[in-house]
Parts: sequence; structure tokens; C-alpha cells
Amino acid sequence: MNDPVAVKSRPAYILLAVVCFGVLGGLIGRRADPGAVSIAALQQLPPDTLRIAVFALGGLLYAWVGLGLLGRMLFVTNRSVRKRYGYVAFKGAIGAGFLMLFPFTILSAFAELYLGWNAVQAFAAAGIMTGAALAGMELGKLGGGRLAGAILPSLGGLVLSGLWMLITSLAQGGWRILL
Amino acid sequence: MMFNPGVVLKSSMARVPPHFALAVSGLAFGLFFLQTALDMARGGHAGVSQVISTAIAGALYGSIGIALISIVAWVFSLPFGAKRSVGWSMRAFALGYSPALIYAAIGIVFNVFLGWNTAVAFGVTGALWAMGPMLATVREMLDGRIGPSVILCTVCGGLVLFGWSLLGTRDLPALFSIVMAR
Repeated sequence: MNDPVAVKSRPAYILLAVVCFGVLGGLIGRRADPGAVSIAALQQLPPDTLRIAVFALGGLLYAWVGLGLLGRMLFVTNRSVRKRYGYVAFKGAIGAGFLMLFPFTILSAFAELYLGWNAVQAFAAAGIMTGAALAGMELGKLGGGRLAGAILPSLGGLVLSGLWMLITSLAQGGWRILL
Repeated sequence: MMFNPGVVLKSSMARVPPHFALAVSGLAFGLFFLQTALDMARGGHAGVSQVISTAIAGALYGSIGIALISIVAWVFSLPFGAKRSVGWSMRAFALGYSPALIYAAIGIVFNVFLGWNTAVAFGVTGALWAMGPMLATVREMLDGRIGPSVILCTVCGGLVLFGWSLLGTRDLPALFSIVMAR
């Protein structure tokens, strides 16, 4: 199967992946400690709405930084793909891989909002790691080796996923966002 | 199947007997549901008969349920040319739960011998990891079209989740709350 997806930058896929991070952040914010977010200038807003919005914005920011760093890491470590296709291939791989976050986001929203399960973190962690692994497979199709095409993306996904769990857990009940 | 499902799907699927493939997914869900029931029994929320019936329900869901969902996916692939047969779809969907089986088997060891609550860490995680191979399966069925593949993967994942919730894991929310609170 000759898949041309990864040689295009696919900005729409990346945008959708970033939105998914935002949605996951918002879903986590639903369960955060009610006192976790307090913004003096926005006191008139309902606290639940404010909390969900702040967590969602945090998810968007995390995605923008995290996916960018992952893409750069893969760019630096994939010499053969870098020389042949340039950075556009890596953006395309990240987009195609993390498009997989969409089903995980939909399912986590279904589980959270309809089934009442407190399982967003499980879906988010699995989705991030699956996305990173799939991004690596896209690079593998373009000639990336086993280390750069499978092991490093999976390690990157592990780090992204672990940091996500740590930051969101702290934000849910530990950190206080007071502005 | 864990690290490169696309290669496995293309090269090995024809040689896999369907009953073996469905046994993999059946065993994966059976062990997953068994972990859930053992966690609940440890907390005093389930007896022996419920543990056994939950495990059997999981095994049946993992075999028959996954087979039915694979047929739904094959039907959805028909407008796109249906590159693969319904038998192939069944085998591929079922074998996509190979990682889940490994996770569940490891989880059972920790659950039984160490007394850990493992349904979330090993059971749910393993079931969610099957989404990766599921996407590879669906992409192969849809001739590599990534957009329709993601949508169909979402539909199939939703059906798996919905069936899972209908099977009486209504106590899973309580279990999640107990585990997440620790």
C-alpha cells in the first residue's frame, strides 16, 4: 500500500489532534477540585465553566508544545527521512498518527458523559501512546529505521503520556491556578 | 501485532484459523472481565458465582461480540470496495486483541498472586491498546483511506464500549472511583 499521507504536512489532522487534547483537558477539568481554578477577573463566570475552559486551554497548549517537540525530536533522529523529504514529512506523520486521538477522545467523552465512568486518563494515555506509535509507523513507510521509526516515537509517546498524566493530576487537585 | 499490525495483517492473516483468532479475543475479554470481578470480590462487592459468570460473559463477548462488530465493519467497508473478505475482517479484528490478552494475562498474575486491583491498569489499558490494530485493520479494509478509517474505527470502538457497558459492568464506575481515589 503506497500511502502518500506522511509526505504532506496535513495541518487539518494536526489541528484536529490539538482540539482532541483540548477536549480531553476539558473532560478532566470536569472532575477537578472545585477550588483548583480561580481567576479574579472572571469571578462572574460559573466556576464549573471556568474550570473546564481553563483545563481545555491547558490541553490545547500542551498539545501545541508537546506535538511540536515530538516532531522536532523525530526530525533530529531520522536522518534518512529528513534528507529525502524534509520537515513536512514529520508534520504529516505526527498529523496522521495523532489523528488516532480522535476515536479515543470520542470514546472517553462517551464513557465520561454517558456511562459516568471516571476513565478519561486511561483513554488519554492510551490515545497519546497509540498516536505516537502510529506516527512512527508513518515514518517507517518513508524509510525510517527501526530505532527512529518505532522505538523513539514510542518512547516519545511514553514521555508525552506520562507528563500529561502528571500535569493533569496535579492540576486536578494539587496545583491551584490563582490569577 | 503489537508493534506493526499492518505487516501482520498483510502477510499472515490468511493462515490464521478463525476459531483461533476468536479464541484470542475471547480469552482477552474473559481475563479482563475476570480481573474486574476479582477486584470487586476483593472489595466485598461480588461473590464467587458473580466472578465466574462475569468471566464467562467476558469470554463470550470477546468472541461472539467482536465477531459481530467485525461484520459491522465489513458491511461499512462495502461502499469503499470491500478490499477484504468478511472472514478476514473477523480474524483481523479478533487478533487485534493480542496485546490486550498479554496485558490481561500479566494483570491476572499481579491480581491473584499479589492481590493488586488490576482491572484498570491492565484490563482497560489492554482493551484500549486494541484500538491501534483496529485502525490498521480498518485502513486495510478501506484501501488506506485514513479519514474514513478513523471514523469507522470510532464507530467500532464505540460499539465495543457500548457492549462492554451493557454486559453488566455497571459497577465499573464504582471500581474506577475506588481505584482512582487511591
